[in-house]
Amino acid sequence: MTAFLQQLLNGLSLGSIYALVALGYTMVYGVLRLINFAHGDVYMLGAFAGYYASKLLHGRLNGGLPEAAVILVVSMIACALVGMLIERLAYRPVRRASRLTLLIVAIGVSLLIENLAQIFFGADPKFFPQILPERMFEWRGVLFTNQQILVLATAVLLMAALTLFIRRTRTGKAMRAVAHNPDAARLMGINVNSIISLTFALGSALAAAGGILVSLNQPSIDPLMGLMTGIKAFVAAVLGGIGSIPGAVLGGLILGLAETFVAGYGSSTYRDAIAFFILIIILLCKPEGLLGKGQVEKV
Amino acid sequence: MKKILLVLAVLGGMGLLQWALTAFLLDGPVRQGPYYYQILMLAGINVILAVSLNLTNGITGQFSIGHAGFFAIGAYVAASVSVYAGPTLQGSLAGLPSFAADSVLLLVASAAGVAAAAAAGWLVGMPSLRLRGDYLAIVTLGFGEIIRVLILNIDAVGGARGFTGIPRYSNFFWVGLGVVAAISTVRHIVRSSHGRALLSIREDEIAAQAMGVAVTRHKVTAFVIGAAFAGLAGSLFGHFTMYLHTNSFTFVKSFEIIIMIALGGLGSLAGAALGAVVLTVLPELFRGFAEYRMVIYALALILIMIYRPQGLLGKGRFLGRGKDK
Amino acid sequence: MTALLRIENLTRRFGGLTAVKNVSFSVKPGQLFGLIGPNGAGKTTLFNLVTGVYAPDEGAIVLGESSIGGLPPHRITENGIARTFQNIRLFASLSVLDNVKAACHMRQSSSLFSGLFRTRAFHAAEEGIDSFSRRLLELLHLDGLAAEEAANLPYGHQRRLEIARALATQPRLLLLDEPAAGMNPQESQELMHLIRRLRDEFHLTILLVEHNMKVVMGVCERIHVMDHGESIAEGSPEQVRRDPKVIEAYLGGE
Repeated sequence: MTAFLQQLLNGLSLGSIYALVALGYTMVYGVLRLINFAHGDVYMLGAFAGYYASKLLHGRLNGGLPEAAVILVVSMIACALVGMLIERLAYRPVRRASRLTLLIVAIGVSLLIENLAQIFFGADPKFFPQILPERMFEWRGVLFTNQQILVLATAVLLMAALTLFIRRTRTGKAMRAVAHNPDAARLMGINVNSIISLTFALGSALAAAGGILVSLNQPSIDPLMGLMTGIKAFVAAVLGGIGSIPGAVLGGLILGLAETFVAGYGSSTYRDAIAFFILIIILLCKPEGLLGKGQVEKV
Repeated sequence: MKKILLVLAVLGGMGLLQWALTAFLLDGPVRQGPYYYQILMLAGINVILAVSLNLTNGITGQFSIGHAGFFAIGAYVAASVSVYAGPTLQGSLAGLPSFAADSVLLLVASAAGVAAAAAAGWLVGMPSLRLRGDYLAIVTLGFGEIIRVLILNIDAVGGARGFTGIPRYSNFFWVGLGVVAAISTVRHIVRSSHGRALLSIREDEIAAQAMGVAVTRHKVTAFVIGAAFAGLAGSLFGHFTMYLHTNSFTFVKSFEIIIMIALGGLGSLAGAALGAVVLTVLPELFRGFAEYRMVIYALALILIMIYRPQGLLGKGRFLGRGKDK
Repeated sequence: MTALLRIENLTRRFGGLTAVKNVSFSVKPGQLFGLIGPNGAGKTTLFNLVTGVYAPDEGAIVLGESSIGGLPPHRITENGIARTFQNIRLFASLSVLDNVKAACHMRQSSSLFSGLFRTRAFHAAEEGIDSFSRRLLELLHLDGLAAEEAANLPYGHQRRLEIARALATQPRLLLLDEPAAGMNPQESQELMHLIRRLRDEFHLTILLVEHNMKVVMGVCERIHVMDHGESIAEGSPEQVRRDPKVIEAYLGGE
């Protein structure tokens, strides 16, 4: 039982990172019907933004929560700008072209970011500073760290904020309208361009948060760290039903739990294959995902 | 009769070229001859890969990003046949001159590689080609990676150390024949009733179905043929480099092939071949900028899709239109 | 005379909405049969059931002797039903000729093998496809445009190309989905001539869904009227025109 709870906690903490990144996929897919291949790389940029921010801040804030919070915010803002830039420069010119064109451009953007990052940051892994010294707690035999709690709390907070924003604010409603039907939204006076821009900004900021949170736990960061996480987060989004925000969260958590339990009870060599396995099963059995709505093409 | 003459002419031409290349580049007066020869071989192998992927991605409009997986299967299966069954076969061919024995061995190994890649293509294609475009892309990416991870875990083919001791059987003659076979196969398919069926699927799947085209069956056929040629390319590659490592078969390789056909023009046969040659030769010319190579690739890909989505030689009107294609 | 197409107690639901409710009718060989009804009557759903886009929840669709309800679209086409699309779905970047040729694939193709090796059977089949396709284009006055890209044709020509393409599958029953949509009066006049001519030259049976009453009344021999997913009337154009239920459905009861 203790071991089970332990795995559950680890799985939730991993899953909440996937969920944060998956949200960006699902939001962008919602408004553009695009698998934003570069999203995983934005997550990587988030981690590096945090790395450089903490170097700049070094000595000015004495570690601890305030420094972590500042780094988180700085990195989220930086990535929001990067996300908007990507959309403006690469995706907007081909938005009206076929989905195939859009997809190829997304692959190009992803390759570009990864290779530029290798030139600028160096290809070797870097060590993310220990902002919050790790502290262990024990509760009925289950070990957890202050970082895990921070990851969970931050993730829950951000997701709650996103949900409120999308449900309650005018802008959030406009975003849903654009996802539903961009042409009708434009006729209703919604500025579709700025809504899409904002969607990228929000999604990228969440990915950046994921990048920072993951680096607190596993401090080794490198320019290709976004590849696997990006693909897995995409799987999480598809699993939950791409386009659905609660779906992305659910999918992320399920994937995190599945990976942790398989690695814990089975073999860890196949850990990375689980995501693809889940993906293939879900696409064959229920392609619209757990919480997604099926789309029927009108004839 | 005409056909037989044509085949003989191609064979003769390739043989003659092989002789000339050996005389001038490998044993001959050109300094760095082996280096040029190597580029030529890699260009040929890339042409086979690009032309065969174009059948799925450009002609049928089904966007696969898993081509490197079939390339890997062909390479590893063919190499295994040569390494493990080769010595036995060699014994039974003892009477033949060495070039003839090598050719027979290469043909046997390649046949195994092609068959394995085609079978894998069928297994992957059957379930996933029912999926809509962008899902298909990600599933093929996933399958490609799964194939690579599986190979990485097989100790008999070297695992993470790489697969060594593969005999060098392929040469310009065989790669050239492979190129001719790939191009003429795809060309013959495109200019036939089956090719028009594939094109109609790319243009409008629902309409194609309503016109009696068995959509899934045709997609799978195209996919399997593409995978088979990727397997051939793999066999020729392994028997040329004499060493295989799974790092040559990551999805970056799949992306590279996609960039080749996007540069040349999706759906254009000559474009795919041209793209493959350009993207093999160009990086060699800019060796000093090796670390910028992928940056330039990526930028080129983005700019091409924005300013000339039909590529250098394609017509590709289907790329520029409609949100729902 | 036995019916070519029989629709028996056909029902199709979407969630809580019953789009087609217990509809039955039959179309005789050689008939020009019209299916009409106000917006939302279920005509398009019925059309999609017959062509295999949707599978029926209940009821049967019988073509000749064989039940075709629930078959995938290409199998239905194989059985002898061809269709056009209301919102034109041509193979836009293929040539006009290749649009028609692509639809010949089902009946006239040689094997993939003979295509690869360019056997005699391949050349024979390709020649057959070519001459048949060109004849169809001629018939629809598109022969001068064979090499044109389909997307570049004017609207009226695109509609005719849709018909040519459907005919290339050599159907027994041709389904036309609002063929007169977007046509001016002169064009719809020509369309009516064309429909009659097609029926006679190809010994076709034609089922047409149409909003343009002039066309329906002018060309159809028998008309089935639907409203809110149900059948409300059937008969000759004269009978249907006078039917109080039909008048009510179109002019609104309440």
